[in-house]
Amino acid sequence: MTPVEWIALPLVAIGCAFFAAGTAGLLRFPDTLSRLHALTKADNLGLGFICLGLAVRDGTAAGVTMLAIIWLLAMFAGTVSAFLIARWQSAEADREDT
Amino acid sequence: MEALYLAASLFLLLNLVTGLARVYRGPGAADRMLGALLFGSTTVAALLLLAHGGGHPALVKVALVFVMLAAMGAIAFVRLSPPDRSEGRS
Amino acid sequence: MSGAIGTTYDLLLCGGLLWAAVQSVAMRQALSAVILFMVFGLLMALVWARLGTPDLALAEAIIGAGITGALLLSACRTLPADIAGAAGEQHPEAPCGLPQGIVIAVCAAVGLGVAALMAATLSGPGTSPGTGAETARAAAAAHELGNPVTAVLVDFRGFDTLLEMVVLLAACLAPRVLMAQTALPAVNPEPADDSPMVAALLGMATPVLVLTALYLFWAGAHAPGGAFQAGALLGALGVLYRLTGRLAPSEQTPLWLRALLVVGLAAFVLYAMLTAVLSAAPMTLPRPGLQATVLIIEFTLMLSIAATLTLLFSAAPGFQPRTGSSP
Repeated sequence: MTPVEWIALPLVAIGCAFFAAGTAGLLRFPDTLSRLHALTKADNLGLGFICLGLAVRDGTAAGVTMLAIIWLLAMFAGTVSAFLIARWQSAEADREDT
Repeated sequence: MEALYLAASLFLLLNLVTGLARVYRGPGAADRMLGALLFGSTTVAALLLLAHGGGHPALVKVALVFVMLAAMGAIAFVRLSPPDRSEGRS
Repeated sequence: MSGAIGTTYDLLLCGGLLWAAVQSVAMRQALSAVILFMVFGLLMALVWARLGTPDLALAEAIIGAGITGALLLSACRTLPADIAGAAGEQHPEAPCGLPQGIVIAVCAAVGLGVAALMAATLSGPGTSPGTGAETARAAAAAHELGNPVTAVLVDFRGFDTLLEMVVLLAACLAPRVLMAQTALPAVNPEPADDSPMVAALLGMATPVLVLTALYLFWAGAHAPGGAFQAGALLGALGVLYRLTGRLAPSEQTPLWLRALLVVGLAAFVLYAMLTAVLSAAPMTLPRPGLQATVLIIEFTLMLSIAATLTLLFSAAPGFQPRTGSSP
């Protein structure tokens, strides 16, 4: 195993662990908003670690830039999606209360 | 060495399938939409691992497109969710 | 991918696909059924990626999960929330009137028959060297264009692509007829409760999607991509603009929109006629100027596909930029 692999593999493994934590939160948390919270934070962090590990392994400027762009876009898209769904859920809860 | 990345991709796929339980059970529509959100990030990671471990570098472009689609799905759901039974808001 | 990992991967994907498909028709709520349909589309795209075909994965993801998902969600608005009906847990009869057991048995038999047919084809005479299928595969792989999918679509089977464009145009005209004869509700979400985050997302998504679409179009000749994926991505951007109210429906179809809808088919017909007149083999790419011809054809196809998909989603004769509100 080359030295690069020694760095890349643990990063990818940490990313997978974060993904597992996100799924566990999705299944076990009691409320929609808390599930949303767990999913967004854990999954995006997991994706970040996996992108970092793959970028370390890749090494070319184009590949690293592409992975960085993918992660940034995923964070942005995840943020906006989570915000919109949470707002919809609050509005739905208000509607059911009245 | 590639096999370990493919194993990681398999692990993410397991996560995906387990997350489907929330899509099935989730009492509200927002919980089901969470499943779509889960798919957004997990499939991106699985595709990236497949691209690097399985030897299909073009899959990185597919992952880029998936990221945007997740946001589009959420916007479509929020904008187009059917009105409540009690009043006709959209 | 080989061995145990590959088999487990495939089994998980197939199981997830089957489950999502069954649930998307069995779910009680229309909204949940549509979300499961989007999940099915995304899983299908993963299957294509696993099989090593990025072109199909892109097309399935954008159209199956993105645009069709949005289309079905907008159709949900006109359905009652509980499609199984407020009363009645038991539905012993399928919509065609037969008992549920018979329907399931017939579907399972058909599925097994198709699977057996596919297994026979995969191991049959078509895959041995010297047969027609093998010759076609070798020719596609040895083509001057690096991407065998594009080689087949534009060079070997240009006639099929021509007919596809005709079908797309017809698919665009059919809702127009419906709209003229019935009162279909247009997709018109009001932008009143727009949040600044959506504006920021659009501001970031537009250049990314346009650049990615242009890249897919440019790279389609030699790498996975092509006119269809690029056009579908631009169509998804158009759908996003319609959803967030940046594009408003209009009663007339403006001239530029009509031109966009037709330019793909027109360019392809022109290419067919020119090759029929100037060369012995109609609808095969001319060897000098191969790249230029492919690029021009793919560009026009991309524009037409994008305009068609956005218009199909709009359920209106045309669209125009919404004036009066700051994006």
